[in-house]
Amino acid sequence: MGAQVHLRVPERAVSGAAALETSGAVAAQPLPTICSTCGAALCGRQVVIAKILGWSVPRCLDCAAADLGSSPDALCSLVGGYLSRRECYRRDWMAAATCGEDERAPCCPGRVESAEQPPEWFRAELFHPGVGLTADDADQFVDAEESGCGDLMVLLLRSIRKTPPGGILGIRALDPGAPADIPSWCRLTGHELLREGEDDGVYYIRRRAD
Amino acid sequence: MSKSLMISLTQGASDPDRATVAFVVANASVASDVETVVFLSTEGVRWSQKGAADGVHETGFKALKELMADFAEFGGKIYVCSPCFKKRGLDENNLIDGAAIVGGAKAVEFLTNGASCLSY
Repeated sequence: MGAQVHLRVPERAVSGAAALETSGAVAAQPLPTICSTCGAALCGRQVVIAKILGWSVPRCLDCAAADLGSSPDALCSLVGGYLSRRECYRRDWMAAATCGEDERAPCCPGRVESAEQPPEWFRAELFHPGVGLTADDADQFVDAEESGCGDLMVLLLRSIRKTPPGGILGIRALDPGAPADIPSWCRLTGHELLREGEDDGVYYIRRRAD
Repeated sequence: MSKSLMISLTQGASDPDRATVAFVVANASVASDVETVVFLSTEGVRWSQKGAADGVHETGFKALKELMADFAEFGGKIYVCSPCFKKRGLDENNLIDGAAIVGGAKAVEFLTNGASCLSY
């Protein structure tokens, strides 16, 4: 479908701080964002793709592929291989708002992550690094018990400061607000949430490297 | 996205629950890398005095004194409304850690520089 794409994805120098700023902008971008060409609604991941390709305004995969003489699947594959090697963009991808029920876009996580044969660039250890983590993997593990809200945030801050940069903090938090608060705290502070609480209320967080 | 927050507290000892929750949320904010100011005005200025929070301990929360100490420890600032402070004859030499007496312009400046605001 179309000519083979010889697209040089820009080797942009993006600092960690800029990536976090991007992450904040992408994650916070309310849906729907629309394609600057056709006006179609975009998911957050299509916005990440546009940023990787160096576009200052987002376009949908259909318009982007048409512009480049390629296909949405081919474009995703090209960008996917690139973002799997770039932690800053990979974090943007994982934090970006998804399509919801619209599964027509090739980048939609429902199609990628649940496919019988996910694309080569989609590796679980990169996109879901929290899979299989146990307390033994954590540099520090704390039990917040029922602490919530400000008390939980204070405990998180004190605990992450005792965790080495790049190290893993494990925390068990049973407060009913924790499933919302801990991901929010991670987005605000830039530490990476590796695993959400699930049934056991245990979260794993990687302290940012700086 | 704003990374600064002002929490306005206008209640004094007649509503310790409100004061407690204000500082719980303030701690959630300051512990999340958000530049956070608690602005005390009207009866809320009474919390600026050492000893005012002694004995205030709402069920389910840390003691107010401890919450306020945590807030100061993590760099939270407390702005105390100057006219409200003077009206009540409070003591400038008896301010708690992190508190500063300010006028309206200081509070307005913080807000107009992009801070969100929550009121108790």
